[in-house]
Amino acid sequence: MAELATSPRYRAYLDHLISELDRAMEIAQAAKAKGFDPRAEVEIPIASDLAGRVEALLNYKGVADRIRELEERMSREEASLKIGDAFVSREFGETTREEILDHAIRASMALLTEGVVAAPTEGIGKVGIKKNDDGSEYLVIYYAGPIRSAGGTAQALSVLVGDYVRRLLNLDRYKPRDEEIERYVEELKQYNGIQSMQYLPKDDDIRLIIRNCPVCIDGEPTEKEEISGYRNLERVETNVVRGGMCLVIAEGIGLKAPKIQKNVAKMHLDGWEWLETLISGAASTSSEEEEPGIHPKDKYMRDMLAGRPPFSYPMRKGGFRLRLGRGRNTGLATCGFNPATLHVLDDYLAVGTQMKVERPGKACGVVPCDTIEGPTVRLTSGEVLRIDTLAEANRYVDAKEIEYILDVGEILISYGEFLENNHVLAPPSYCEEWWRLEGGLRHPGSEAEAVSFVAEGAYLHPDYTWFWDDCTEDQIRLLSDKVAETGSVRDGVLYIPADPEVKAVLEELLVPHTVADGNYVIKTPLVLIAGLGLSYDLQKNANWNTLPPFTNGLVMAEHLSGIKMRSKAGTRIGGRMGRPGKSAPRKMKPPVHVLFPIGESGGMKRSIDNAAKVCNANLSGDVFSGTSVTTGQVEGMIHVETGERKCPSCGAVTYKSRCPDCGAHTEAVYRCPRCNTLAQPGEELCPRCGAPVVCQKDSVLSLRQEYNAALAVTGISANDIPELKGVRGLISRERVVEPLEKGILRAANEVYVFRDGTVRYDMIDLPLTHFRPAEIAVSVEKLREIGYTKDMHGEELVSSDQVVELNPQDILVSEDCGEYLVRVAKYMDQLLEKLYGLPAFYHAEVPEDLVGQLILGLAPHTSAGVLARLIGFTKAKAGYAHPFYHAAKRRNCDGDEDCVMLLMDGLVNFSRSFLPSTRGGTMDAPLVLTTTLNPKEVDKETLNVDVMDHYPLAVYEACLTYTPPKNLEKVVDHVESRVGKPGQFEGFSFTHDTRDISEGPLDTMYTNPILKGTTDKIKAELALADRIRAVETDDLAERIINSHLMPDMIGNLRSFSKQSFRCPRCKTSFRRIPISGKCTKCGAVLKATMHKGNVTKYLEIAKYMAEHYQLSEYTNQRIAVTEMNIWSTFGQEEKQQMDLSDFF
Amino acid sequence: MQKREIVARFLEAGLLVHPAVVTYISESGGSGIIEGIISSLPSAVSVVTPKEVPGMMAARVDKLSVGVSALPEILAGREGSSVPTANPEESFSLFRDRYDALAAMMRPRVSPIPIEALVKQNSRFADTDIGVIGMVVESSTSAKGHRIVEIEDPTGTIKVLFNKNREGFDEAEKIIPDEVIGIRGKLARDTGGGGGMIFSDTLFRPEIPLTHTISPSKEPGKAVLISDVHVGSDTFLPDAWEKFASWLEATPEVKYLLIAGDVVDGIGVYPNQDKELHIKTIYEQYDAVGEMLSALPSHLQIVLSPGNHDAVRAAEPQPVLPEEFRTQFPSNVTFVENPAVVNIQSVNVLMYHGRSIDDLIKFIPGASYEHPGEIMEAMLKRRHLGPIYGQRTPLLSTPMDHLVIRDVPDILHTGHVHITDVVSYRGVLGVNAGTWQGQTSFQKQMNINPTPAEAIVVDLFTMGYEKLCFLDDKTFS
Repeated sequence: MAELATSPRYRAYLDHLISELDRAMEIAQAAKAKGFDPRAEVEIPIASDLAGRVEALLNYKGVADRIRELEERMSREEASLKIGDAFVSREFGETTREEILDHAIRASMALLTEGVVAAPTEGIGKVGIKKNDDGSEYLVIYYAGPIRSAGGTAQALSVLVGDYVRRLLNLDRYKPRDEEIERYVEELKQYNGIQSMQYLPKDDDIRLIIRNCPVCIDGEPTEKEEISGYRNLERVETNVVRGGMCLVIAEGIGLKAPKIQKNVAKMHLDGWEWLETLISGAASTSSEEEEPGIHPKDKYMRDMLAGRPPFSYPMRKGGFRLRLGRGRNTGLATCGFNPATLHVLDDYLAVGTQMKVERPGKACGVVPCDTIEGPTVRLTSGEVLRIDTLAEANRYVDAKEIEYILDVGEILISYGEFLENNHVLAPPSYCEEWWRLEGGLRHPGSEAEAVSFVAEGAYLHPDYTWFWDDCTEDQIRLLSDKVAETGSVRDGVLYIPADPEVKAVLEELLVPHTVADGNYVIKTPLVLIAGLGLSYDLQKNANWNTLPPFTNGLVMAEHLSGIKMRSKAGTRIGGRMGRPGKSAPRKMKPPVHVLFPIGESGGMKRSIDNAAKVCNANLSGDVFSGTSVTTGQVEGMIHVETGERKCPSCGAVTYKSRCPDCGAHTEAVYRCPRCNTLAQPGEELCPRCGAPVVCQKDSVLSLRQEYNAALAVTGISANDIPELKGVRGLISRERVVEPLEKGILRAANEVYVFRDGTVRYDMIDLPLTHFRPAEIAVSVEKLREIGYTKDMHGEELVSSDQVVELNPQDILVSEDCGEYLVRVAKYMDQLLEKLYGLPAFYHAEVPEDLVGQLILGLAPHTSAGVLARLIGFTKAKAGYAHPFYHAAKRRNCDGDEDCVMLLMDGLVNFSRSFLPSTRGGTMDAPLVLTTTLNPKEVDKETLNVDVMDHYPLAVYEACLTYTPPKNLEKVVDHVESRVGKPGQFEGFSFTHDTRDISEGPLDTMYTNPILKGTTDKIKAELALADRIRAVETDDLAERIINSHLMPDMIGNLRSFSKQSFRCPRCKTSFRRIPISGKCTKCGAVLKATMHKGNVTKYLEIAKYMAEHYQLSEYTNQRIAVTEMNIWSTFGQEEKQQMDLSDFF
Repeated sequence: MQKREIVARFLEAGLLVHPAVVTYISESGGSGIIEGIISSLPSAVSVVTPKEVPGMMAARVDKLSVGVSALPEILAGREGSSVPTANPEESFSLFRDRYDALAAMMRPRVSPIPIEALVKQNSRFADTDIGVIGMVVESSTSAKGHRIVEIEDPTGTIKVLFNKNREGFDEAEKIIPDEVIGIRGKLARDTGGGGGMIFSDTLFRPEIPLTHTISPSKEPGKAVLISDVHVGSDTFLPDAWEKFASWLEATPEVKYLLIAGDVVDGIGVYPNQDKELHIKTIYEQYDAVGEMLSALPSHLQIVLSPGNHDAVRAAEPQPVLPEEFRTQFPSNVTFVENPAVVNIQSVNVLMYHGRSIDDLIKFIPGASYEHPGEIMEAMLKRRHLGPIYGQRTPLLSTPMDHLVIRDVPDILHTGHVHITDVVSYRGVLGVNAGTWQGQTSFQKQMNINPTPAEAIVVDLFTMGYEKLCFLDDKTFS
C-alpha cells in the first residue's frame, strides 16, 4: 500500500487512533470469546484503505493487494475493469465461471462506489450464463433493488465490467429475441409508472440499448405488479416487474451513456459504438440555448409543502444576497447565515435545517456566520435598520417591533459550491473583503471618511452603498425632487417630511432611517444626497444636464454623484425551508431493548414483563394465545420461534449462543424444513430434497425463569427499570437471540437497540474545519491532553477563544447525543462487568468524560462504518465533523443525516447474524470499519471544498462576468490541489469566521409544539410570508394548495374508494374486504384503513385560504369541485358545520 | 369433459362441430347428451351448429311494436340511485351482492359446494369431482408455471390450481382479481393442514347465454354513440364537431345521441392540467357544452352520462351531472348516472364510461388500448363492468353492486380510451366510442394513438352500424 502523505504530527494522530482501536479490539475480542454472542469473535473487520474495505466487504481473500497494485498504475475506473483479469486467472480461489463473473463484477462495483454502499453486496442478486438461439453462451446479470444506492455511473459501469470479464471467459454477447426487447420496453414503462425514475429513455432508445448491450441485464422481481403483455417468456424467469433491471437500463446506461463512452474509449473496448447513437439522439432533445448570465429558476419552489415557508422568491428584491466565501463551518453543501437572519425569519431556519435554494445547488445545510450581514427590517415605529447580531434580533423580536422584513440578509456560499455544482459564478454583494482587494485601505470610521477614500480612487465602501440598482429612474427622480423641495440638513443629519412615496423609495434603497416628529431622519446622508444629484444644500447639481438615457439605477446614481460604486444587491438567491434537522436516538417501531422474541404474548408494547406473567393452559396445541393468570397454571411459559443451536462439547440443544449446561459457544444447526435432514455447515440446500435449509425451532421456554436469572446476573430488580421490551419474532436467517441481560442493562440505562444489536444516535450532518474550545464545551486542558496543543496559526493553545484546526477524524456531537452516549457507555461498562466478567472500559459520568473516545459513524444505505474520535459537544442539534469524515460516509451536508455509535458497543454487540435475510438486510450495518481517511478514497464532492483565507481579486472579477468556476481552479486553493501531499489533511483556512458555530435558533419553528397540526403551520407560514418583501403571499397560498393540499385531498378521496382493510385482532391486511366482511383468518370484524377524516382534514384550511387570499379562478373552482365530490362520496354534508372561527 | 374429446366423438360419427356447440356441451358437463344430439340430427347435416342442438337456441322474443315512446327510458342509473353506505366497512355488502348475482348465473352449470364444507370436510370430498363458485382474492404463478388462484365465497377461501399443460389454460391466465368464477375439478386430499386445494378441470364464467340473440327495434330510427368530447381542452377539435353538427342537421332519421362521459376536460383531473386548458373554468366548460348541444336539432334525444373528467365524484357509480352545471343545456338532454341502462325504442343500451378499461388492460394478458372491443367482451363474459378493486377505478361503497351486468343489454356503450372499436359478442353489440380531442401530450408519451372525431351510427331497426369520421381532411367512410 502506498504510504499516505502526512506530516509527522498527523501521522502521530493516525497512529494514536489505531492504537486506541487496537486496545478496544482486544477487550472486545475477550468479551466475544466468552461465547454469549452469535459468534465468538468480533464481527466488524478492519480496513485501513479502499482496497481493504473492498476485501472486507466482499470477503475475497487477497483481492485488496491486487487492487492496491493496480491503483498504483491506473485510474480507479480502469482498475475496476482490470481487476477482472485477476478473477479470471482464479487468483482468489473461484471455481466456476459463474463465480468468477459474480465476484469480478461485485469487486469492481465496490471499487467504483468507494467500498461504502450496499450495492455490490445487495444490488446484484446473482449472475448466470444462458444460451443464445445460435447455441452460443451469454452473460446475465440479475440486479436487485439496492442497486439504486450505487448511483447511475457505477450501475452502468458494472455492465461494462460484465462485458469485459465475459470476453476473457469466451462468452458470446447477448442476442435478444424480439419479444424480449419488447418486454423491456413494456416493463420499463410500467416500472416508471410505479416508481417514477429520474429518466425514462424513449422506446426506441430502450430497443437500441437492449439490441446492442453485450450483457443481458436481468433482475430480481421487486414490485408487486406483474407485466401484462410479454409474459411467460422462455428466457425471462419472472412476469413480475424487475426494479433493479429498470434502474440500470434507464438511470444507468440511458442517463450515463457519455460516462460509459469515456471509459470504453480509455479501455479500447469494441462493441459499444452504438452509445454514440444513443448520446446524439438524447442530446438533440435538450437543445436549450444557454444565455449568458443567470435567470430566475423556480424549481426549488415546486412541491411546496405546507408549513415549510419560503424566505425568498427566485432572484427577488429583498431575497438572500450572495456573499462569496467559506466559513469554518460551511462548504460541502452548507451555507452560512447571520444568526439574526435565522431568528428574524421566525426561527424556521435552525442550525442544521435544510434549505432548498435556487442556486448553485439544490439544497444546503444552514449554519450561523456572524461576520456577514443580517436582515434589514422596518420597525413598527417606521424606522428602517439592519440587524447584524442575534442580541439585537432577540430584542426586536421579543418586543414584537418588526413590522416588515425588507431584506433577509446575506447567504455565505463558497467558491467550492459553484465548482461542485458546475454553476457559473455570479456577482456577489459588494463587501469589505472585495473592497480591500480593490484599494480599500481600512474600515472607514464615518461616512465622510468613506467618501474621502473614493477621492483616492477606491470604490465607495459597501457600508454606505445603497441599493440604487433596485430603483427605477422615476423613483430616483421622485426622491431627488422631494428632498430638494422639502428636505433639510441640520448638524449633518437629513430630515425629510413624512410622505409614503418618499418612504417607499427609501425602503427600496434600504437607507437606514428613523422617524421623529413627522420627519424621516437620516444620519448618513452624504452619499444619498450625492446619489440623488443634489448638492449639500439640496440643490440639483449640474450632473443632471449630462444624464445619459436610463439603464440602471446604480449607473444613474454614479453619474449624478460622481462616486464610483459597485452593486450592493449583487445576486439574489431564492430559498425556502427544506427538511427540519434531527438529533434523536435510533429506535425501532415499537422501540425495543433486546432482540429476544416473545411472539404475541408481550402485546402491542412487546413487553417482556407482561409476557413473563402470561399463563398458558395449552402449551401442546398449535395455537398459543395469552391468557390472564389462573390458578394451577405455570407462569411465564411461552412459545417462541428461535434458531436451533447445538453445543459442540456437550451436545446440548438450545437457542442460546452460550451453552447453558457447559458454557461452550454453540453453533447454529440448519435442517430441511420438509424432510428434517441435517445440513452440513455451508450447505444452503437440503442434500436430500433440495429445499432451502433453515435454522428454526419452536420452543416452549419459561420466560419467567430466564428473566429472573438474567436479573440476578445483572443485580438489578425488575422494579428499578422501565418496562423491558423485546421483539415479536426474529427476521434473521439464523434466528439467533440476544442474552436477556443485555436488554435489562439497556433498559436500566434507558437506551434502545437497533436491529443489528447496536445502540445508535442519529444526527444531521454539518461540516467543520476549525473550532474554538469555548464552543465545544471542553476545557483547553482536556484538548491539550488529546493532542490539540497548537491553534491554527501555530501558537500554543492556551485560551478557549483561539481557533484550532479540526483533525479529519475528530467529531463533535450534539449535547443530547453526548448525554445519550454517556448512558450507552454506562450500559457497556455494566455489560462488560456483569455479563462478560471484564473490567469497565469507559468510566464515564458526564459527557466530557467521553472526550477522546472512539466512535463509529455510519450512514443509511451504506455498509461501511468510519472510525472517528469524539472531541466535543455542540448545542446545535447536529453532528459537526470534518468534510472528509462526511464524505467517507458518502454524505454531503445539505440535510443528510446518519448515526454514531460507541466503538465498543459496535465491536461487542454487532453481529451479522441479527440482520434480516431479506434483500437489503445488510444495508445500514457496519460490515466493515474504515480506520484511516484518505481524501482520494472518499466521495469526490469533498475535493471541491476550498481552503483559502481569502479569494484573490480574480475570483470577484470572474463573478462579474459569470465565468465557469473551472476556469479559476488554478487560483483557488482547494482540497483537490492538495491530494497526495501532507497538506491534504491540515493547514486549511477559511474566509469568514463566526463567534459560535451553534449561535442562532437550535430547534426549527416547524417542529415547535405550539404549532399543532397543519392548519396552524399554514397560518404561521402565511403570516411570515406577509412580512417578507421577497415573498408573494397570494402566490404562496396558491402553491401550497396546488402542491400539497389538493393532491392530498384528491389522492385520499381516490384512495378512500380503493382502500384496503385491516384486521384489528390479527393484523392481517386485505386488499379488498372479504365477502363476509370478516377476517378470513380469525373472524374479527374488519376495519377500514382510510376514514373520512383523512380526506377532509385540509378542506377547511383550503377554503379559508381561498377566502383570504387572491387565488386563481382555476384553483378556487378546484376547491369547490373537490368539496362537492367529497360530500358526494360520504353522503350529505353534516348539518352542524363548524364556524371558521373555531379553527382560527 | 375435455373439449378435445367432444370434437373426437363427433368426428367418429363423421360430423364437424361448431365451437359454440363444443363450449355448450363442455360447460353443461355431460357427455350423455352427445349421443342424443347425434341421433336427432337430420341426415343432410354434416356440420353441427347451435341450430341443431335442442335448447341452445331460445325461442326469439319479439319486441313490442306498439306504444313505444320516442323518449329514452332510464331502466337503471336514474338520478339519486347510488347512495353511499354510512361506513366503508359496509362495502362488503357490495361484494356479497356481486357474488350472489353472478353465482346465480352459474349455479346450474357448476352445482357449487360451499368452500367451508370443502375445507372442513376435506376427506369427504377429496379426490372426487366437485364444483365451487368463488370471487377471486388473488392469483399468482407457481414456480413451475401453473396458475394458482385463491377464491372466496361467503363461507371461506380455498386455492385453485390451473395446470399449464391443460386445455383452457389461456383463459385461466385471464383470471383477474375480484371477478366471480365457477370451477369444476378435483379436491386434493389435505395432508399439510392447509385446507386443501382444488385442481381445476373446467373454468366457468357468468357469460352471455349462448341462447342470446340480436333483438332489434320494431320501428325505424337511428342512434349515434359518442364519448369523450373533452370540451375545454386545447386539443378539442371544434371544426370536427361543427361538421358533426351539420351532418346531424342533415340526417333527420337520427333520433338519439348517446354520450358516454367526459363531455368536458374538467379541472384538476391531472397535475398541471391548467397548462393544457383552453377554457380554464369548469362552469365555462359546461356552458360551452350546453351551447354546443343547444345548436343540435331539437328533435334529437340526447342522453348524457358522466366520466372521470366530469365534475362529479370519481368513485363509481358516478352521480348525474349536478344542476349547477346544466344551466346552458337544452331541455332534450337526459342526465343519467355512470353506469346506466337506457331503453331507446325498446333497445336496451348499457352506458358505461369505461374507467375500468385501464385496469382490465393491465391485468388481462394480451389486452391493449388499440382493441377496446376485446375488453368489452371481457366485461360481458364476466357480466361485470369493472371487477378489479383497488386499482385505478375507485368504487363507491354501496349496498348493491351497480357494475354487475344483470340483464343482458342489446348494446354496450363505453369510451374512455379514445379509440373507436365495435364488436359483436353473442348478440350484444359492443361500441367503444372514440373522442373529439386530438392526441394529448400524455397519450403521446404513452404511445397511444386516438381515433378522433368518429361517431358510430346504429340503425335500431336492423342493429347494423356504420362508423363516420368528421375529421377535416377525411370524407365520411
